[in-house]
Amino acid sequence: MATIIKKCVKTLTLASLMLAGFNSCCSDGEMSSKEKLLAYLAKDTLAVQVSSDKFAAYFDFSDGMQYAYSDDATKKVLEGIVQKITTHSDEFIKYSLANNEITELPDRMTDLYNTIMDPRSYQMQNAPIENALNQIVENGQCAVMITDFEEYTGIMEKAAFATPYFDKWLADGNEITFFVTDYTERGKDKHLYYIIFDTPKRSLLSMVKDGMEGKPQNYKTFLLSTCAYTLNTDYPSNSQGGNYRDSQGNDNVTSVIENGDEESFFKIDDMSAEYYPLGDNWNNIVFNARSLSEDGVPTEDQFKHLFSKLYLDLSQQDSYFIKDLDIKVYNIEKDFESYSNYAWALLQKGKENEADYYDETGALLQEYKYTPSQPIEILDMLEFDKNLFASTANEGNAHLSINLKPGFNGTIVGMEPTDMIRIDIYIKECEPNYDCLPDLFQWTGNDNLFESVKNTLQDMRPTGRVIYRYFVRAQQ
Amino acid sequence: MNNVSTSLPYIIGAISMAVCFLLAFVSANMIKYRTDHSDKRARRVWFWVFAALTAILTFGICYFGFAIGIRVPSRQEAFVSSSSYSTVAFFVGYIVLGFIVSKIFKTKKVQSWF
Repeated sequence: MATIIKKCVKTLTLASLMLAGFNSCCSDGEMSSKEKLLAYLAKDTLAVQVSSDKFAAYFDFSDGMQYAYSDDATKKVLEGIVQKITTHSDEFIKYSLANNEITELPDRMTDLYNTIMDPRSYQMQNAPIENALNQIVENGQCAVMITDFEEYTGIMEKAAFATPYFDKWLADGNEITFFVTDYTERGKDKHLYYIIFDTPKRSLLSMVKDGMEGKPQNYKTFLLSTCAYTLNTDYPSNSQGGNYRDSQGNDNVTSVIENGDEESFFKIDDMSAEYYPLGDNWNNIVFNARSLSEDGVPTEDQFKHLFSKLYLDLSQQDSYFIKDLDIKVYNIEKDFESYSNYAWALLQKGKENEADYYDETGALLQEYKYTPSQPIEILDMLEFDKNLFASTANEGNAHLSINLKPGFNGTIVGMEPTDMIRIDIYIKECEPNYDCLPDLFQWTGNDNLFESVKNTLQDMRPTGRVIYRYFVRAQQ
Repeated sequence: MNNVSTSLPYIIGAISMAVCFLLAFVSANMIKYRTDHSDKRARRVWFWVFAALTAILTFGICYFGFAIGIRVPSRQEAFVSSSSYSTVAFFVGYIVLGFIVSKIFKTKKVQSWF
């Protein structure tokens, strides 16, 4: 008797699994959900942030710089950096800035350090800093610039000339790190700047930092960036996400598929995106959430957040204070489906069933062409937990979580239950950090760099910038 | 346990009904004819005992054997719903079956049921 029951249960579950399998298989071909989403994400990513693999190094040889290098600690730091540049000399193009000209320095520069240290190198005037900035931004090349940032165009340039170049560099998604040392030039207090123009990957910056490792830390740092925030997660494992879990680790609300295969949850760190294939439909999910948030449920099992355990590290606040975040929810099914079909068709080029996707002239058939559709914003479904953010922000590691909106009952007008939705967590409010600027970027009688950095901070305020995305799809 | 099918209660119900009906049938035949005709009443009593048992078995096995182990609220609710429908359906089914059988076998002992 028991075996009969077991057999019946087995056949029934097998039948329902097979049905589920047929439903989730895409209509055209066999790209997995993971492949489709990766292709979809790749289409929007800025392919190239810099146009060259090589780095550039610009040295200011104008009169006055020798005073910057008279300090022992500065000498050691500079030695470290120059050492790195000479060791990796085939990755660096070296320039000198003097006499209004940018001159390429010879490749074999074993005595580069000595040249810099020699006071006789500083007979010239007028380091063309603005031209150098222009060159860096035009070439789209990561660079190190060592200078006192004094531009002399007949008169001392006090206007904020660097702003457009800083703006452009940041607009391309890149960062500028300043290392600032104090020194005195003939009684005048000035600053020596090591300026690193780099991508968020920070390969040049880490090289420079390596060079400065072990040297006296007589400098302060400032990161000029619109994307300096770091996010981290506290998920149970690599194949599991931030969906609700009870004290036993079971997801009894959304039943996210977490077995690690091609159709299950995955996280892409460098794209700040995650994919949640939910194992139930929205109606049931809302029911489950309500049932498990009732008073009778033990506190450790109580449902509070749909997605959580994502943290924003607010300790790096050099450029901007992030004051507030929020979410926007979009139905991206149409656009996603169209692109997935297109991506699949692209893969069929040169294969046996190419004729199904391309016509005689080799052009893509109309139905497989990608037609972008505007994402449809979904209101009244999910909300960002502002209270949790505010209360945890004070401790430096803000906890970001997404809750079901109280009025949401499981259906959204105009949305199919299985539509792919995208949740964008974005910066709602941020403020430039002006406090440390005067100390770092102003010196006797010259505000140009201070004004430039201030202007750039104001121009490039990342309000509205999306910092993390969840892609979610529920069942029928 | 979360993925137990909501068709399972119907299988359990069908089996409970079958088992209980068989037992009712056997018990009816085991009761000997008595001169004071109290055997008719005895067979009727046992008929209803097994009717109740069909319902109790069905719901009991469904609930205590399966529903309790389902942790996802919506699925548990769906399973309990199914179990309730199954219990009622096979309880009624047992009675209907008993009625039909008792009318078909008018000359046998089961005739006493109705």
